[in-house]
Amino acid sequence: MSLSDIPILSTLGDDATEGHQSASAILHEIADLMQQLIDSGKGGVIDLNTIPLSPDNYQHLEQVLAQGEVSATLSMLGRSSIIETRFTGVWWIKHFDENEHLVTELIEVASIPEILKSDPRDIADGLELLQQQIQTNGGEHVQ
Amino acid sequence: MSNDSENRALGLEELLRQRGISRRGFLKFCATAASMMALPQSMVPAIAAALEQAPRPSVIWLSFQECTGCTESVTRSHLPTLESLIFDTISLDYHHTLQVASGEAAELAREQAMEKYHGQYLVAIDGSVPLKDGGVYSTIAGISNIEMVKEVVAGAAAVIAVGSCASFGGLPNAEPNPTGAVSIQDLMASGEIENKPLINVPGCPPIPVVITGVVAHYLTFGRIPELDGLLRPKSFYGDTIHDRCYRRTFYDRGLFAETFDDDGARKGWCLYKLGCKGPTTYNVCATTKWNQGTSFPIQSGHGCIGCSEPKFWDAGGFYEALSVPTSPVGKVATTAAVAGAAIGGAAAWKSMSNRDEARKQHQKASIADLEKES
Repeated sequence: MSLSDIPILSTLGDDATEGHQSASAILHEIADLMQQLIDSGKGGVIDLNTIPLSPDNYQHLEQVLAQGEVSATLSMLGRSSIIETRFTGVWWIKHFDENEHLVTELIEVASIPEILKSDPRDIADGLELLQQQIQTNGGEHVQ
Repeated sequence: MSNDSENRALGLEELLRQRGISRRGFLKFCATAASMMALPQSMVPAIAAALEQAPRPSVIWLSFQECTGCTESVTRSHLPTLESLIFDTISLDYHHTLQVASGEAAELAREQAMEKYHGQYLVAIDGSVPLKDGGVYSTIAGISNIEMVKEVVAGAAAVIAVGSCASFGGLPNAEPNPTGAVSIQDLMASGEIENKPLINVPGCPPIPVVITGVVAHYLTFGRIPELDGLLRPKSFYGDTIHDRCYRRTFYDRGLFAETFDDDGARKGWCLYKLGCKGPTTYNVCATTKWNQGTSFPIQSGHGCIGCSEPKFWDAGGFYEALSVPTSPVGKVATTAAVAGAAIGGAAAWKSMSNRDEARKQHQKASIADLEKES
């Protein structure tokens, strides 16, 4: 059983509750970064690990951003989930380790997250591998 | 050994590539490292560039008058894969709790590392050093702690004091201090050991990823991080627990738990009146948290006991409310910034995006205001 299996009921709106100040601050920062991306082509990254978020504020942030059109999974050094939120250009990135522990959580504002781009050296390695495959097996797949 | 020597010469990215880890994996590693080192994500390209060339330093870990909690902490870090990579990229040549070798073989490993990497190795120390009665109260392999630290620090590039005992004396140093325990900083100040670049990483114990984050910072940039007046890395100890506490909003509104089981406690209100030392304690517990990022004491309903501050054990009861007023803000904040230390009402200091606003809020929440509320 993990923490997420324990049902937690968030209470909202009462004067004695904390409100959504932290989540709201993050939303404003995201809006600033989106404007910056439009104006200069340069977005930015918010590290959620550095911001004090109560479970209620975190839930609020998730509800507001919500899932958009694109989702990708990176399988390297554990799983990474890269999801575009319903606001185009705003990506919610979760890096897990090989034991499925969440190690880093980022909001990246960009046309495409840096980590999804293919690196020229990795492409060159891929080309070399493909050429070897073609030369040795004529392109036939060998187990 | 030849493989070991070759690996030491390789940059981290090349080492990872040889293990089949792509650039994407390397960037993931760098993003996590930045987060772990409490550096902004905009530093990732710089971290990547530095790690591509980073050499693999030798590390000697010495444990003196301590409870092994700091070692327990670092081994329970929640980033096993990534940290094992970090530890693959340093060479932990001596750690008498973790190493397989014992007795003379263990001490030989330390001596060999000291000789081979003289002037280049990193020393991590947990525990205080007893000086009373010639230092007889703690010895390893018949060598007193003071003799060993003197010898090892002399050839070091830099020293990391891990935990409150090595940083400030900790529990062994608490009244009446029967063994004459002192910190590494005290030993350097008194000339007992050579002066070297020193990083204090206090906490009882320190947060696991803070320990590895400091090592990672040194590995990445080849130099020690920016430090405050108590020689703590500002990236981890730059804000108080209170500054970053999610219950801060209740403090600002004067909403406090009066007992551990009252309505306020159930609603998660501020624990200031129950003795929380968050306002005078500099650490990242409120954001990095403990146990794989699960929680931290305040989230569990107990105030901070201030374990990463000097003399925390002798600083009064854990359940006595801080008596120092939190205003006037300007004066306190300036003092704290200049001294780099937690002085009285450093509660006022908030280095988040809107300090001015924080100051205004704090000015409204002086001790007098709190008394009015109760």
